[in-house]
Amino acid sequence: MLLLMLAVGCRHRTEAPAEGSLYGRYASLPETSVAQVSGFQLCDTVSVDVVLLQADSDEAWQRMKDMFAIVDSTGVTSWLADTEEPATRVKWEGQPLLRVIASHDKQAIGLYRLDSEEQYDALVDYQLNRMTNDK
Amino acid sequence: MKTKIRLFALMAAVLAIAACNKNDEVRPTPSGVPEVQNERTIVYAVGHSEGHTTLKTDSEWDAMLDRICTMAAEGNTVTFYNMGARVSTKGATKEEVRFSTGDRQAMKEWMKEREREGMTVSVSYDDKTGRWSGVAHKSTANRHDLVECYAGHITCVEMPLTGDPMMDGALVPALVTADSTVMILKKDGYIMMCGGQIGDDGMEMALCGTLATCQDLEGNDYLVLDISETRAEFIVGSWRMDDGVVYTLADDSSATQTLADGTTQSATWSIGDEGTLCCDLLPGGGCWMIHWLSATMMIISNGPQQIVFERV
Repeated sequence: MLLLMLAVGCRHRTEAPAEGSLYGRYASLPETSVAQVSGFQLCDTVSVDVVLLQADSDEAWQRMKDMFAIVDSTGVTSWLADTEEPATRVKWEGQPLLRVIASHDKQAIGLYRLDSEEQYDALVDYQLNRMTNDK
Repeated sequence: MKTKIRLFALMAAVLAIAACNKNDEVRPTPSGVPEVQNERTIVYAVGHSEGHTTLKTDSEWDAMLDRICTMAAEGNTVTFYNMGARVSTKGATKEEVRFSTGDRQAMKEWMKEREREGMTVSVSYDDKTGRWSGVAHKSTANRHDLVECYAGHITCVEMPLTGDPMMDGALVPALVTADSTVMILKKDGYIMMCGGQIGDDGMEMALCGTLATCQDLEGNDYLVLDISETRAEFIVGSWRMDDGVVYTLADDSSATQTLADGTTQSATWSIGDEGTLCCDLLPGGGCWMIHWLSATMMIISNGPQQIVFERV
């Protein structure tokens, strides 16, 4: 749902990923589509950079779950992560950090870079609003 | 495996001490307060017999530690090897917090609070009831490569006055190492104090040690205390494989392999950069990951190969 919105998100731009970036790290994953979106608009005033990993097969999704130590199998799973190690769960001890969101239905993971509390707030709002809109 | 079963049988009397509080397993939870499940497994020994037990509630844990204190006071020697939360699935502990609400804002606040604590949160929305459901758990991701284990003798220590009303003067269980270093065990598995000495000089308050996991023969993961600098001393000694080959690892880093026919070979051993056991006398040589280390048993692996040692 949330992650699917990235595919149809209307106000964002794509950029050539920097070498050594998160995009570069995951770009060569087998059976996985990787996209980087800069300035994905969460609301009128807040945007966020995101790297999206979309598994193209059940096997690829299981590999991604193992890679990110995801043990849940339903709903939308999320955590705060180190900017360099998205699988590493961290506490909120100052920015920047990543908020990782995994959709089991979509077999996709989004790595959202957070530089402010405002972005964190807007991202959780966006996630919950999209889930509610599925009603 | 047979050794472990035998040891467990020997520990039956000790295991019983953890079974006294079964009625406390289900605790009333005030309405609206997230239910906390916190299952911990501890591995320990009395004398030369090992055992482990799983404690599901704080009251079970308290009762266990009380009894250990009593046993220590009566002159028994109790050695703790591993303690902490038993993991249900690789990558996450059983420590869970659940929350359900029909209020989106309440769910948002709950999610953010749990995530800020470093927990992994999973949220679902039920179209029919209009309710949100969330479960949060602490993850052990990135700790699976750490397999340190720690052993020490249990005792009871009266905490010095520190200004902390929760701890001042309390009689708490502690591990005492061979050099009399004292480490206080906390319910969450962390060590509260280290570097202090039993004596008149008071105790230094500091955090030390981290939690790691190791896996036993049955595939169960345990969180264990990671104190790598003291690990080597627990490896020193003679270890026998099930085919009769004995490895003697001395504290001067010399290693001796003794075959069943008495033939011996010598080399050196060391702890690798990643906490592995390195010795050219091991089959194929190289460095082996240590999956289990206690007073009586050590399990190491290298790729598909696994070796179980009994201490001689």
